[in-house]
Amino acid sequence: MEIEIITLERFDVESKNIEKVFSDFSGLNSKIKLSRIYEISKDANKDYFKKIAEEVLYDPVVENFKLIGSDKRVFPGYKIFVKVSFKKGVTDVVGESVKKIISEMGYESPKEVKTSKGFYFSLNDKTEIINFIKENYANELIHNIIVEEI
Amino acid sequence: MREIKFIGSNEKTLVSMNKEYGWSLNLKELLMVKDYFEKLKREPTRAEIETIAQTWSEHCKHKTFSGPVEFIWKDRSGKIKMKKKFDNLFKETIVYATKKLNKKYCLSVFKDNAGIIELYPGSKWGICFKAETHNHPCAIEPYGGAETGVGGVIRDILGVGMGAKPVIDTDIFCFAYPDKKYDIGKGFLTPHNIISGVVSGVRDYGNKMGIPTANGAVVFDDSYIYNPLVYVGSAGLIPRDKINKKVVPQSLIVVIGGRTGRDGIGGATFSSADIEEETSSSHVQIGNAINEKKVLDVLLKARDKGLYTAVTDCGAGGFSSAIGELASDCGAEVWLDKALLKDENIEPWEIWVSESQERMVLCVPEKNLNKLKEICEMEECEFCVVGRFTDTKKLEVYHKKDKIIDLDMKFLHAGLPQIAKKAVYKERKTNYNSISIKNSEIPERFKKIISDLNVCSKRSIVEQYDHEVIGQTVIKPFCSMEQRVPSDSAVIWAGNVTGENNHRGFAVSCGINSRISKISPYLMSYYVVDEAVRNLVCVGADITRGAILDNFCSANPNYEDVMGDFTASAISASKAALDISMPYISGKDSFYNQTAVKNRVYKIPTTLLISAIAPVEDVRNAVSSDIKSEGNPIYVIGEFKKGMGASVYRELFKGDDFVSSIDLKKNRKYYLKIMESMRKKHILSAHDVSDGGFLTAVLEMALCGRGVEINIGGIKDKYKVSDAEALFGECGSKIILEVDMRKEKEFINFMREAPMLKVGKVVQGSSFILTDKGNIVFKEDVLKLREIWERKII
Repeated sequence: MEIEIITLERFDVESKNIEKVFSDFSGLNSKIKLSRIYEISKDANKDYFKKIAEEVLYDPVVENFKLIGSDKRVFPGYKIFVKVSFKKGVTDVVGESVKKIISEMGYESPKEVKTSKGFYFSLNDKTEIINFIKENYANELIHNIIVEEI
Repeated sequence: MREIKFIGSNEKTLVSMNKEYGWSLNLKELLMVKDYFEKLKREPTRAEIETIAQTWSEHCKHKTFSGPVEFIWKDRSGKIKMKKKFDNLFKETIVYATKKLNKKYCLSVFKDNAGIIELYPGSKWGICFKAETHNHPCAIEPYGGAETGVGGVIRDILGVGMGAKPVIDTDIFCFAYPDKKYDIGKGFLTPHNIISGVVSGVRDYGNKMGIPTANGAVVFDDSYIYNPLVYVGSAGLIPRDKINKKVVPQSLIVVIGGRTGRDGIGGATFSSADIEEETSSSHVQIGNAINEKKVLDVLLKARDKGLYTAVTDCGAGGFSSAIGELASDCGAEVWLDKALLKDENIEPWEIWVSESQERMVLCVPEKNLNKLKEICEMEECEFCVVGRFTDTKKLEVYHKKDKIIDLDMKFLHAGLPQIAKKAVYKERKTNYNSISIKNSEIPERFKKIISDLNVCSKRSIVEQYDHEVIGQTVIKPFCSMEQRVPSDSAVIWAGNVTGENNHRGFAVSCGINSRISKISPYLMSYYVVDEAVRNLVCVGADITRGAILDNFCSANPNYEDVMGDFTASAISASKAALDISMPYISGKDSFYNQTAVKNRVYKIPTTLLISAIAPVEDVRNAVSSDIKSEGNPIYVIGEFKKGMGASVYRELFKGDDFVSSIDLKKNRKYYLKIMESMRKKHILSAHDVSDGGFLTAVLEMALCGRGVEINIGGIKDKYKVSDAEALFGECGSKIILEVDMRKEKEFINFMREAPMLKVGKVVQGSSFILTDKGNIVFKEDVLKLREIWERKII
């Protein structure tokens, strides 16, 4: 199960910065939304993940979260989703810390927690978006880049 | 247990195996290894070869700098000017200067993880200082590379003597321009990507460690496109009675901190090779600052309780290097299956050479183990006992019942064959033309210079770092009420750590200049040593008790021209230290900073970072660079010299490539006078002239919003230089001083033997006025100029 956390529009300076970098890079305009994703390996019901999101991972004042299972990813107004995650074998320090905190908070420990960054684009130009992510927000030596049409 | 066939293998097979396994050993070294095992009448194990490769790597042994060199110096016409054979270039240049200077305040030099000087005469505390490079890791994974660079140099401070408390970090970067379009080769990162990653990595590690990152520099040049240079430094305070360590046979080998995994395997040997288009992700290390903070807390508590007798950090080469070095005089028996692992599928030899971060190795008498365990548990820091120090003079490593390494310490640490490198230094042809500049051109050119990346504000990088954590930073990267004026050095108060009821502290600065290196690597060393020391002078540090660090970066030393430039700069670095009377106490070198892309070899120029440190008697009297009060006169101490070589002006417009030489003996005399004058409170602010030249330096002092009026007529008359040389030239060693108008006569009288010139005054309002013999050449509001200077870099 994935817990995806997105900053509320009025507080989201980082996504606005990325939009500017994208525009400078490609000469194109796109609405962009950044998210942080925690992929939690645990055989449990939705309540377990909801509680972890609410009590460990998200800040209700400035953020929102959603749980993403095997369903298709949806985000109205956006057409392309890019996920940048660590390759197998690369140390995921934040993932390890979250795993530790979950058990310290008294919940059953998950098998593994992996972190990723998500980028939603309103523009439907896969090639330009992949180039942009590769050059600015990922290093293919340690990152996997997954692109989905949504 | 895997053996590798060396016995009977021919040279071709050995070279082929070397490439396949990535050992980065040369043929002579491979043959030496073969000979050793032939005498033992057995094949080596994979773990043994990996150990030898790590121990003999450039990173661990510094075999180029510490090796023999056949040096030839040719003048501009190609005529041989000098021929010299060095048996050990490092000892005959850098170490020679330190020995010759023989400063009694140097408590530990070149023998430990960092150099140490006295905090003040008779003090019970020493200041330790170390700077490292992490260039290759940052080229392939900037964030992780920078993080682990910071983590590594902090561990050097933790691992010096019996462990010191780090109190300031430094960061100095050389990048290609982030705003320039380059045709980047496939598989390489863009300058923007590298800069963002490196800055974030330094920020995230330093900030989480609770150590201020308070001094640094950023250099931009096309030469660093594929080979960024990332220097990181750290200084700490150590009780004087904790400076010596001793490895006692029969004591336990204890590892505290992070677990061992597959990350960073081959990092040390990677430093002995050029960067290739295809690089393995196994070279990448990822840091975890929280783990290192736990290590820091455990270590200092255990040190003060006397629970261990020696400590070192686990850096390049992992256990192989850390345990191998600690046990080099006695011997060790290691049980690798006792190491705490991240990944159970890891091979034994990988455990041995893994460069997983945040690990320290301690020598712990068995009777102290439980007490150490208590501290580790209290700080939630993992620890494990992985062996015992012995008196066998052998390195014996086991994994369960298998003995995977059985090597003589003598062979491992003294068996490296010496190979003389050829070095040919060719003086570049330079031309001097007196460049003139029309008065009407000055405003626009000045604005272009102050917005150049090498001159403009580095705030967008600096503001990401916590430079005030632990409340000891007296002079921060920016000074003035609004923190708008760039400082020359950081000044740190020591009392928070020493607990002494005084205001003692120390200053940290740096000097780096790749533009001069492209014209004259020989002169470059003089300039950067001078700049680092001058920066200390500007804040009022006591340079009579100071020290410097050398960090050379170079391309592949197997090219005789590269080795020639390097050798020439090492020779002048030695002379510069002697002339200015500042001993080297520690240093590091990084070679192979070159990359072949699309049949073209991109080499960096020989780049020397000098980091300088000196005590400050009373941090309350430290001098900042922001102008203080209206009416005060402005003086320049130091000579304006001919030549626009190596200036930012020349990079942007045109100009000759001549660089004047400087006399550091003479400079030292007037630096000492400035120091004394500061003690007498004649001087209210001081700033060195560097990138951008004189006019830029004056503007930087005025960026707090003060008006100044500067007259260049006097400069041209006194020093016989052109307008361009006076305003924008970067030759010579100059310091701009704001003198207290009430003490001006006293100041003039005191400084009369120094090259001194009154160049202007602080005026009412915020106008920046440039005049030439009474005529206004340029007038602009400082705040408008500040907007131009404060552009964003990333």
